[in-house]
Amino acid sequence: MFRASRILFWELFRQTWLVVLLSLFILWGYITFQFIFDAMFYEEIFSSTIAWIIVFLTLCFLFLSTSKEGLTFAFPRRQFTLPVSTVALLNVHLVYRLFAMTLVGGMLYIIQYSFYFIEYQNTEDALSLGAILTILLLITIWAQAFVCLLSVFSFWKTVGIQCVMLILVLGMSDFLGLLTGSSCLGVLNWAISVDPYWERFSIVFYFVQGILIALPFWALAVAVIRKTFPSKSTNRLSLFLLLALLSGKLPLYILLIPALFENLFHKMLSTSYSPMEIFVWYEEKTWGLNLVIMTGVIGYLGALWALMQSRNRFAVHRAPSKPLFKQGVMSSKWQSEQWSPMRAQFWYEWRQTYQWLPYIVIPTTIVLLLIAFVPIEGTKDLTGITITWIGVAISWGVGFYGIRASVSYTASVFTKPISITTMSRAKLWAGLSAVIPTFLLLVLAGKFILYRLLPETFQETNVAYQSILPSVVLMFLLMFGALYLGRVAIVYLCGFYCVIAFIAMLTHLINPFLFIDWEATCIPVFLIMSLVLGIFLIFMTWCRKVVTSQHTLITIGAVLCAMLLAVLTVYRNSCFSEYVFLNLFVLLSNTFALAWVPLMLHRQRHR
Amino acid sequence: MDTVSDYVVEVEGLGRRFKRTVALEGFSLKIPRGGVFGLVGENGAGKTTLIKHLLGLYKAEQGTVRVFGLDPVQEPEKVLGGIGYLSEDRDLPGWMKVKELMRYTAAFYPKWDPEYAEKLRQVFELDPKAKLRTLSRGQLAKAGLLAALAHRPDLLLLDEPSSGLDPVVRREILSAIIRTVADEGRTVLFSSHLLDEVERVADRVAMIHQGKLVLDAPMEEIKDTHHRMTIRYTNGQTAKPDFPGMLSCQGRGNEWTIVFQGNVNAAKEHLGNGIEILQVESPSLEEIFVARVGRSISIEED
Repeated sequence: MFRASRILFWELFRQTWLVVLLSLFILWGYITFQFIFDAMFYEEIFSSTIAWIIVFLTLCFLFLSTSKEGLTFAFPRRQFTLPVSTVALLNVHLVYRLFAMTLVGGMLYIIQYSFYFIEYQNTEDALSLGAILTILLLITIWAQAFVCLLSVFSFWKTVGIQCVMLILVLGMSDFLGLLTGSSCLGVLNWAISVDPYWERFSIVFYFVQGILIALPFWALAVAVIRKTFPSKSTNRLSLFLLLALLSGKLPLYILLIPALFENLFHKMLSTSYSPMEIFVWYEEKTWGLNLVIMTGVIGYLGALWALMQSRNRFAVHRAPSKPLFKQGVMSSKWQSEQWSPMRAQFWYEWRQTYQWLPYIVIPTTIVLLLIAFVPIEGTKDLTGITITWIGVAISWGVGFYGIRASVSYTASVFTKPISITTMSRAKLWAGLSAVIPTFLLLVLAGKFILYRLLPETFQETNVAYQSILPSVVLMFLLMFGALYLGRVAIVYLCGFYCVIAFIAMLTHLINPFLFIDWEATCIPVFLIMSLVLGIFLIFMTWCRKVVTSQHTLITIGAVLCAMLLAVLTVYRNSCFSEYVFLNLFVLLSNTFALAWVPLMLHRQRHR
Repeated sequence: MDTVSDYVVEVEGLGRRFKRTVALEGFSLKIPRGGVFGLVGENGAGKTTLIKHLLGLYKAEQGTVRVFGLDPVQEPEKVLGGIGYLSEDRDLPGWMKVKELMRYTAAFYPKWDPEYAEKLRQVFELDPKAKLRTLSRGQLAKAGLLAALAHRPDLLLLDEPSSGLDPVVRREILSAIIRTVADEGRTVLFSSHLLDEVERVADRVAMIHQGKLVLDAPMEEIKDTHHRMTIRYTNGQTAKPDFPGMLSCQGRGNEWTIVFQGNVNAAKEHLGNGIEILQVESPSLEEIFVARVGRSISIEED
């Protein structure tokens, strides 16, 4: 079994080492970039968010595997036939990913540390290495559970099961107990001020309520374990879960025992064991530990359970699942209407790939925005975390479905009597239909979040908004590029950033005093390169008769617009407009995809 | 389809390599209009590569490919509009329902016959609300067949259509459909490993071996010109017989079974006196195929 596990580990390494290495390289470049340019044009939010997004994209890629259909997030079922136990199978996958994310997390820590050091000469506010690794590794475990669940259930059932897991975590980690305690705290304080006897009661209250609230959740988890896991391991798993449940609360009990002792012997409590102090201490220090342990344990058990289900159901056909979204717009007239090839292909593209982007990003963003607007102390921190999570949601959505949006189709599509031009047009409209509403929501989200962070003056919000607008525009580029171009986008975007980084470095080497205005130098160079590439693509697609005159006009128009914007960028006079122009240019240069996609489709169709 | 050619498919000197592997080499084939054309060959012989060239999914590295007199790479819309194709991989999108597949496919073919499609769906017993990923391999083949047939194509290309189908469906439905299409004056080209099925259905057969055409003839002619003869030496000789046209020879001692192409009397003359012919029969297509392919392999090994 050890040999088999080792081979599996090696297979995982072979599949993903490049992604991890690339991610580490990009993050390293990110640190170098900050040192060279002294983080002059990075806002704190922008900086950390981008770094976190890179980390989460790496996480997405770590879970990609190959299957008969191509790249997928589903657990590779071919491994189920190997003579390896399910626990070992899961452990191999999980350990490798935890190891990879530890490396990436370490790099992220260095970024944050260096950022705080450069920007504020104070590193106390930076997240500790332990905190970063804890967050990342827990997310990795839960992502593993998600992937395992996705191998058995439909997407929404998977989301539902993970919500149940989350409820179990919150229940067992005394989250609900804390809420109860918090809500009773004021009443108890008042009661104690009236009669010290109530302090004794409060001791018992804190001691018991946590256990009482956590136990039903533990019982529920045990019931699920007993129903699903083999009887041999049921008791061990239940005990393990109980220990995990108690472990987070242990410091609380240790602190409470002397207080309880004094209470039982009818002595007044010493001030050092005031229940209020204990409660506050517990809330601040130990609840996090409890939460971490429970999240890890439940995430692991969820992954294991899903993998066992998936392995056992391997030979059984899944029942036809209900449609994820009822097609309310499909009237009977629409149903009977004969589609044109363009419309049929649009429908295919939308259902195959693009519908998922708004379906995932829009609800997630709305929920996270609502959370960000909860009026509690530390709002700015919460809002910052929300921004990060929006980034995670988007990167997950784009990563998950963007990778499926390929310009390579199966024979069943390529053998339809449809021209490449129609196919590209359908792809273009479907991509825009998905990206535009998502993008608009993100623009609004950016505005609201900034208002939340900088509520002092409306003008300040506007100014700050202008500073993050380029990143929002860049997001559009990433979304559109990844979804429209599919796997080609990786090459396209990597190439783009490599060119920018190269020119910036070169400019700095030639003249170190010019580094602040690096974009003024590199944009025209990049423009020329883009122009050459664009003209080449137009020429190629024109020669192959796979592009219409409309495409050509749009592409040439985009090139001209980009030139104009670049010129304006060079002669800018506003502080923030430079980034707007820069990113608008980047966005417009992406319209080369209009020529690129037909060409790629033609190449894929006639190999 | 406005075409002037007498042949639905014309392949001339087709060559294709995948890195070092030669998939097709100097391959020439003409398929006349109407009838059922069976394509047989061992794994990796080049059957699917040929079909993908006909669909324009592969660009000819050498030689020319014409379907309905047109180049499928230069004019894919016109060519594909007249072709119904069932792929070997059954690569239909799993998220699509059967009824959605029908609607989606119908959009591309002006000649799509909804009544015929519905009839086929009922014959194949496909649930219109079932998603394709929930179907078995056999059901998936039926769904693919439905999509390929319902627009009444001039050329039906079936790549291993029997794969995954049970014997009843294969014999009663697939064969019946193929014959019906051919009887309507349209052309069916299908590749299969099941040679008894090809023998039962095909009007004309082409055998491919290592990217080369080793036989292309009407089924009747193949049956007429190929023989299996069992002989016994009466003069004490035990050497393996050999004569022009012999494809394979099995046996030991003084009794041998020979599969050969040509005239029985001519074979007798070549073998000379001192032999007794025990039996002369018409071999099955499978025997002919094994004899031809096996012979090539043994020659190469020598």
